[in-house]
Amino acid sequence: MAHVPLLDIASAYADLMTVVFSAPIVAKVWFATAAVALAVVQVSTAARMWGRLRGVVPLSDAGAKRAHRWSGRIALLLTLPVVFHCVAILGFQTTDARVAVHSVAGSFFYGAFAAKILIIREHRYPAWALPVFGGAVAALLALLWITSGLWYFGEFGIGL
Amino acid sequence: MIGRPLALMLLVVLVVGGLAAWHPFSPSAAPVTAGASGDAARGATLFAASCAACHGADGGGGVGPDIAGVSAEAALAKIAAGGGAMPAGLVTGPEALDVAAFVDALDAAPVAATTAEPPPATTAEPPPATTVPAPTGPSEVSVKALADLGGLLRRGQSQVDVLVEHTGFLELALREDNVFNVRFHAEHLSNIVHGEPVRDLDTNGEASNPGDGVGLAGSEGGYVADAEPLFAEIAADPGVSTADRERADRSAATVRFAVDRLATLVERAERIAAVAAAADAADQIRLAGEAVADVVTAYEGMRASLRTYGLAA
Repeated sequence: MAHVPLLDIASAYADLMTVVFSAPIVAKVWFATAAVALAVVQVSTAARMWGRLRGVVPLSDAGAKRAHRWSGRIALLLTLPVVFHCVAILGFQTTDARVAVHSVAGSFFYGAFAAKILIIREHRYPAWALPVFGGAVAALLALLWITSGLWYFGEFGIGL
Repeated sequence: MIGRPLALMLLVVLVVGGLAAWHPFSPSAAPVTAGASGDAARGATLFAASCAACHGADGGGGVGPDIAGVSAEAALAKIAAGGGAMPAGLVTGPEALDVAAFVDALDAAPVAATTAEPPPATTAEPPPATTVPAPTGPSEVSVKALADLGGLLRRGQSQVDVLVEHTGFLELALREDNVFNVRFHAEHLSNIVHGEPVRDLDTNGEASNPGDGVGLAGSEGGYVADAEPLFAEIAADPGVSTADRERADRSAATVRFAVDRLATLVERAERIAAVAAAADAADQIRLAGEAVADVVTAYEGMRASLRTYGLAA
């Protein structure tokens, strides 16, 4: 077989993912699912930091802040293999409505994330900006998961 | 007011979207000519494990569409994109190239070269009938029973072959640690045996059956199960020779054995179709394989017995 370096990278990625999972796409689905679970933590701890959900999230202000930061960092790490698979291997597609919505939402996800981080770092934006952009990141992640992970589990069942 | 965050967002969207449009590691992004970049022989094995269940062993279609005649480039694009119930990226990297090369080759050699498993030894000729007694005046009933048996077991042979083939697919899926295909092929084993109604054992939302729907031994009978009353008719015929009667009795017992082993197989398949991980199915797949081997042996015995009847026209 002809040597194709780019495909060697994709193959190495597939080999790595199939150490644990039955196929790279299964790994992608589970990483995305874990990221969505952490997004729920993100939203609830953010609400707690803004003085909401005190009865639901039994954390101190400092604890909520710490949980928010670490769940965000871990969620971001979990999305990296997913974005590699989606962006570098599968690419932007519009084969049907689900795939098209997924592709568009995926393109916006890191943009919304980057904007949110910038808003946190530079303390000069209106008060509504952070919850709006933070909410957009969580909503986009949820939409991405619904159009991929949830669809996949529905079609093929839950398994590794 | 929030110009900088919006500008940054737009920039990142353009970068990510651009990368996604380029998707540099997609198998379809590589320069492909079938046979040059992909290994069709290796692709045959991958196709059997990941694609044949829907597209048929020869790509002629089934649950999924007929793909014989599809080019390597088009196959790669479809593998990468997915479509309908087929997820994108079922196989990736060099494996996708191999499958694409195999699909491309389907055009030229659509049948024999497409099955990854060699045909099982179920079609071996039985030993010659050297001790067949002369006919002793069978009734019309048993002559008809023999004719019916001949047709039944001939048609059933293809279903036994399908059963063996899919047992191979199941074992391959286990070796590849592919739980979805393990469950999928387990569903097929059960449905090949059970026939109609087709059951969705792997709960993927689609009940599928690579068999012809009659089944080998289901609730409505089947090619194996229906053989017993016919052998019993021959055994009960006062006109047949003692040797033929004894042979019919033994064949009826063989049928009962085969039906019992098929029931065991269905039980194993149901368990396999519900596993959470491929490795969890290892023991059940081994036992299912043993049951299939027993069925094949019994089936060979039944067909050999039929051929050696002095009654046979």
